[in-house]
Amino acid sequence: MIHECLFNLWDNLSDDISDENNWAYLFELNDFLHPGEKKLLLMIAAIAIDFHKINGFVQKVLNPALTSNDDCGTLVRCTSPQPRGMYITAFCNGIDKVLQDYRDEIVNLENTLLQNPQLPLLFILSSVERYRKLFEVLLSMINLIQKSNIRGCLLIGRMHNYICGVDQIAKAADVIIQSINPMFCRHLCNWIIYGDLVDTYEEFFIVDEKTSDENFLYPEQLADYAGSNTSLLHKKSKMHRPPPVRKFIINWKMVPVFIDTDTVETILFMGRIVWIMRNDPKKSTNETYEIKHKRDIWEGKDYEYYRRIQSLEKKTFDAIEFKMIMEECRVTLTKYLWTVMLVEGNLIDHLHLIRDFYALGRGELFQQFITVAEDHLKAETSGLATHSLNFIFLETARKIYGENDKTYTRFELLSIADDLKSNQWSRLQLNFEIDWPLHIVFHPKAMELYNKLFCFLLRLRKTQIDLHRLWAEHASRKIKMDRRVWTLRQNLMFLVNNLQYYLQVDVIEAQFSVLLKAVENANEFEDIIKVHHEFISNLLAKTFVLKPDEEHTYKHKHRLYQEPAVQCDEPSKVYSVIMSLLELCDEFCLVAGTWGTELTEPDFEDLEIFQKRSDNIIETLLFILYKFHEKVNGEHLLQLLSQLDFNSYFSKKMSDLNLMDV
Amino acid sequence: MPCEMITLQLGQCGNQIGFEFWKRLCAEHGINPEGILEDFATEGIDRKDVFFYQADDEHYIPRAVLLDLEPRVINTILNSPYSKLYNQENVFLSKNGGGAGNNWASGYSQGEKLNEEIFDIIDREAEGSDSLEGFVLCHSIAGGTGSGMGSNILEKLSDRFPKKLVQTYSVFPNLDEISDVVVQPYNSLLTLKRLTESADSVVVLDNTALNRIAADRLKIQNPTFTQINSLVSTIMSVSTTTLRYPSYMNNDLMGLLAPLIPTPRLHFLMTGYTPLSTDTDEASVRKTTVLDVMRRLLQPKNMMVSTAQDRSSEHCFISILNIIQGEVDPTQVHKSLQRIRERKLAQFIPWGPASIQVALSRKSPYIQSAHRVSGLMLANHTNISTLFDRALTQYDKLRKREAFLDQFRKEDMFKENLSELDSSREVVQDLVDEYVAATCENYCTREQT
Repeated sequence: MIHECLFNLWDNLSDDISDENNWAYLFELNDFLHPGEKKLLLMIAAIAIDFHKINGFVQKVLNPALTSNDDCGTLVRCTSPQPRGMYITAFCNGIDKVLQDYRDEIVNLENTLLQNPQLPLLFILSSVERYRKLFEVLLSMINLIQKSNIRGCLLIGRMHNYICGVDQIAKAADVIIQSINPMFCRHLCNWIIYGDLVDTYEEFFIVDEKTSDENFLYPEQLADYAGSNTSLLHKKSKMHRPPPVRKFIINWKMVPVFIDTDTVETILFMGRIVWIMRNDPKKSTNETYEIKHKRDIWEGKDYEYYRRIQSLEKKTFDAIEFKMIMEECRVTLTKYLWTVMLVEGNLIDHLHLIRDFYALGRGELFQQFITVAEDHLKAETSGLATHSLNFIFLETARKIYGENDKTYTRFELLSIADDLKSNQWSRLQLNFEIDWPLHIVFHPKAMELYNKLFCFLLRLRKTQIDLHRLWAEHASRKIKMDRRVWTLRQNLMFLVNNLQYYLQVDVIEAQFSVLLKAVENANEFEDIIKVHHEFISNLLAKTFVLKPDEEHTYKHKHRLYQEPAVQCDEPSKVYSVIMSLLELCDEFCLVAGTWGTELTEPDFEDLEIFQKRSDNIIETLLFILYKFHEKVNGEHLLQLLSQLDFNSYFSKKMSDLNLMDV
Repeated sequence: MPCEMITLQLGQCGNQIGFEFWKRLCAEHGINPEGILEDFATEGIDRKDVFFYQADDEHYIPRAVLLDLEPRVINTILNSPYSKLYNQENVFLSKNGGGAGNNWASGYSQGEKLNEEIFDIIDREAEGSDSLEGFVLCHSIAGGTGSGMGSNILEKLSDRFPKKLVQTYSVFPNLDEISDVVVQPYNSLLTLKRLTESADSVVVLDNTALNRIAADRLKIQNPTFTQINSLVSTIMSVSTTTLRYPSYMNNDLMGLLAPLIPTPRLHFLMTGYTPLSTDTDEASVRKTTVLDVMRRLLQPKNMMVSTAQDRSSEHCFISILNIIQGEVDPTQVHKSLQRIRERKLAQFIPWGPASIQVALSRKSPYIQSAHRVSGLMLANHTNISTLFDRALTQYDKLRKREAFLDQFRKEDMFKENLSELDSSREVVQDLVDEYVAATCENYCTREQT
């Protein structure tokens, strides 16, 4: 009987181990058994059943083939499918290791009993009794796993709950964790060191979406991906678009509790960087390039870092060390990326080009472009086709810059259909061929924002040219003309010139110099993202193109893609006043150009209307600037105001506005 | 190439400053005296084409026309290392070679006679450009050729090229020394009329101020022509930097002049430059900031125009453009302007909006300078009228005595009567009056004369 009992404790090959009734045959000896012994036997049986339940689970996971037919006889009846995966396997291996002690104990018992056959049941119980608590806990683990469907790296987190408390359980949990840890570390290593994600059971907290990240796709690329017909409607761009960036996301449900959000973001960030580095498009096409820029992300120390991360598996979990190693890896990576961007990607050159082209730093080019394109526009009633715009643009640039400077070939113009924008100059967009890997800094959203600024500046420039032409027209007559005409012309020109001056010097030049300095001082990739976004949001806010988003905070510093802090589609009040000013100027230039030396009666009437409208606009503009300058982040309004009112002409003239104290 | 400028240099003075100007432009663009681009300059993104064009053999040729009635200065140029730079077809020397004898009337009538030959050259040059923006004329107003022939050409230019801008760099005589040109006041006045009526913009280079600056600021007791002319060439080259280098504003002459010159006749511009130093003067190098530069530019002693303090009226700036070159922190520009505004360092017109604009311009990488920051001011200031006032006074003195008029009466224009002198006086007087009126608040509303 005792051997039967031991046999049951050791293992039960019969199918129905779970059922207490199967122990009943032991009770056939009812007559022999003292009721006390019967109780003892039941207690031993309970432990054995627990063991079998645990072992059954383990075996099922480890040898699914053996138990695949056994569907109804599960330990805990549950409808969830059989848990699968590397982590659960590791978990079971861990449990198996924990059970080993128990098995040894049983073998010892057997030996002892063989030597002392008279040992009572109580002896057996006393030997196995200490496993009862352990088994309970192990069962509760299994229950938990099955009921809450805990899988993957979440398991480690769960196991950590057991570490505190009873020594025996803590030890067991430790063994299990040690068994799972290598899995986790392997995932982590592959991801961080090689940007690889081998995760057939989706157990890691980073998921490969197996698509391109739409944050790094331009609209026409998106359309291409969608495979819809809209791509045909899009004028095919000649620019080489940057290579897509694979989308990896965090599956927050799978994040173990012991890793904080920032670290999770950091881990995602690191793998993405490595992925991008390893998927350099130039590498595959150009062999000499590969040799020249032999990319070594870890500077020959990848193995070292691999070992460092792997060493984590030895310990149950050391939050401080974990963070430290992650940080070390991050610093290495981000510094590497920073160097690549600076040296290979020519970040500074790109920034200069953005200032030169999107922010019209090359005034001469756009001035000439507008002049030439305008003549063609007059001929074309339906507006210029994109290809002829580009032809003019390239021709103009070639004339100006000759053979020495070919940077303009990296840009192309695009006329977008937008019924909201009546002025065709504000419909122009600029495409920029960005070098890998800077496409993660100059992502489509950033370029969209730059284009908004570009439209505005180009529109302003066009009006300015018209005003200057009117001036030249007036000057060429070399005769005295009506003072009111040139006074109004001069006032409008003053506003437009000083506005342009404010935008170009006080905002763009100033912000650009701040940006360059910040880039100089930066030494991490994240810094570039940060200072670049600050640049964009300052630029758009201070040029009034978009309102700043004051609530926006950059939550996670270590994120590949961030949104600049501007409220899209929300131009400021100043912007709309400026727009009406520009419209007024355009109309004035058109009408005043037809006026002769002597104004006729209708001319006078027109002039008066223009005069009134301009007074109104100027007053509104100054009023808004004055009213809002005291608000937070309103200093730039004061800057423009003091430029416009430099000789206090407006403030004296509009004394009721009470601008005097400015 | 877009926005080309053709330079016309006239007479002794005009050719001298023109020569210095081209020397300077060549140095800034890395072009050697033979017109060949230096090896170190092949990468530049500067716009050489505004003032130069490329011959078939790729060497650069200035868009310059050299005109004189006597051969001395032009021969010096043609015997210098720069002789091969110029297009020989653009060098025009009067065949009789006798000069204008420092007589405006002689220069004017010779100009009239040589008109066709001269405009053959100018027309050819104009046709050779893609979209010509205008002409730059270098001359002096006191002599014979620059003033007389210059006046004639100015009149013809605005007839033949009404849509092109004409800017002049006009050298005004030094009043501190006794001139050997006795009819200088007549010459000046007659030229001033043309500058007022036919030019779009006149950059006044006042020899009085230039000599004073050389003596006081640069400590050169007897400045040579070359030293003075190098000052002038600095001003000419810096005032064209925004045209010659990529720039966010003032990309063409129109864009440069339109904000500066609100009313057609008040187009006489003053210049100021800082820091001033000669080649030997290394000790005066100081740490310079934007504010320093802008403040110094507003000081009369750095002005290239000697203006008398006229206490009867409140002279003021109509407009200011500062072209700043060098290592400037753009974030400091606005602060500096605020400082100037708060301390009222510059008085502006009361009848319209006015401001200081700052163009942060590139500097030639091929010219070493000891100064971190340098600045040029182009300003339209009503005070310039005192210069014209002085010209009027001198004229009146001479005219009262009917002195030296015989030379003028020899020429057709003055054979019958001297009404041309009277009308010129009237024009210049009107100009002075308009400048004075521009100091008053009611300038825009006053009765038109």
